[in-house]
Amino acid sequence: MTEETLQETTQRIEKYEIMLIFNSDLGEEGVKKELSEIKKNIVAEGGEVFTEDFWGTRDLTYRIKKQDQGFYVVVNLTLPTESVKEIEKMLNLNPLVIRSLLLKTPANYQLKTFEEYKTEEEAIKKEEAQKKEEEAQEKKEKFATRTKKIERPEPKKQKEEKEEKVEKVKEVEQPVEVKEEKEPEEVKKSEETTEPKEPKESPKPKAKKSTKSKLEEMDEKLKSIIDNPDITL
Amino acid sequence: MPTYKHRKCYFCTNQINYVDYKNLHLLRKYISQYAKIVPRYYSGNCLKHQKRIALAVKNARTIALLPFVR
Repeated sequence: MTEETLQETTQRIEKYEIMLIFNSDLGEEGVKKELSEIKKNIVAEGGEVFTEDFWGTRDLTYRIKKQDQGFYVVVNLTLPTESVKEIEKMLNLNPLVIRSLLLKTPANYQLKTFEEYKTEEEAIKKEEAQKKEEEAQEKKEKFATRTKKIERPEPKKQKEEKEEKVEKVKEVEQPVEVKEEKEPEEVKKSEETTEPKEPKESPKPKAKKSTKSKLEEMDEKLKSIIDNPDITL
Repeated sequence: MPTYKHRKCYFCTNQINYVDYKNLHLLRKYISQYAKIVPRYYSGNCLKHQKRIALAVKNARTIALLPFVR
């Protein structure tokens, strides 16, 4: 009893993942035959195979054993830690297996199949394409707003200039009328400013009188100009 | 847009702890045009995840998923 318990405690079982590249000349059926033989070896060592994933024939990124293509297979399994080396040896000695990689999987590891990776890649590509489109649209909108901002003030200025020109022409033709229109407003403004401060202080009315007198003078001048329209500026 | 200095690791932000050697479209981000591993000061990853990426790339190279040299 004691010996058995000791053996159980010393024999640790861990999860592993093997990626194999088979010779592409075998085809799918040949690969499956070879895999079944490898599985037998694994079971004989005291391991268990969970899942298999067939990636199919792929181009190798560099030449291995005078071959440019290989059939990829991923296998998830458990193995006692002692028999890992033996299985690696077995895979290395197998002439139909071009290359193999045996790795310990982390905790909470779930195998992603080749198709899942493909779908992920496509989704990511779609997202990127959408983002690019959105960015392009935003850029276009920004450009449009900028151009509008630049365009808007220009016509206004032109119009104003035109109006001013017209006014100037009018002034040249009839300078008296324009002046008459402008000056009464000024008078009102001056009155408004002066009126509320009248009752408190005495000196300001004098100023008001002076302004009034000035305005009267101006009115007289204007009247004289109206009377004698022959004078031109 | 995060600035060059204040950017964060892609794996830390997405909480990816295990970088898989089979995830090729992810690993290709961290490989230069001469198939070299992109250093940390370009990729912006933290040291922990950079080491894991390097390991994943090296594993992918051994089984001819990624090239050693281009």
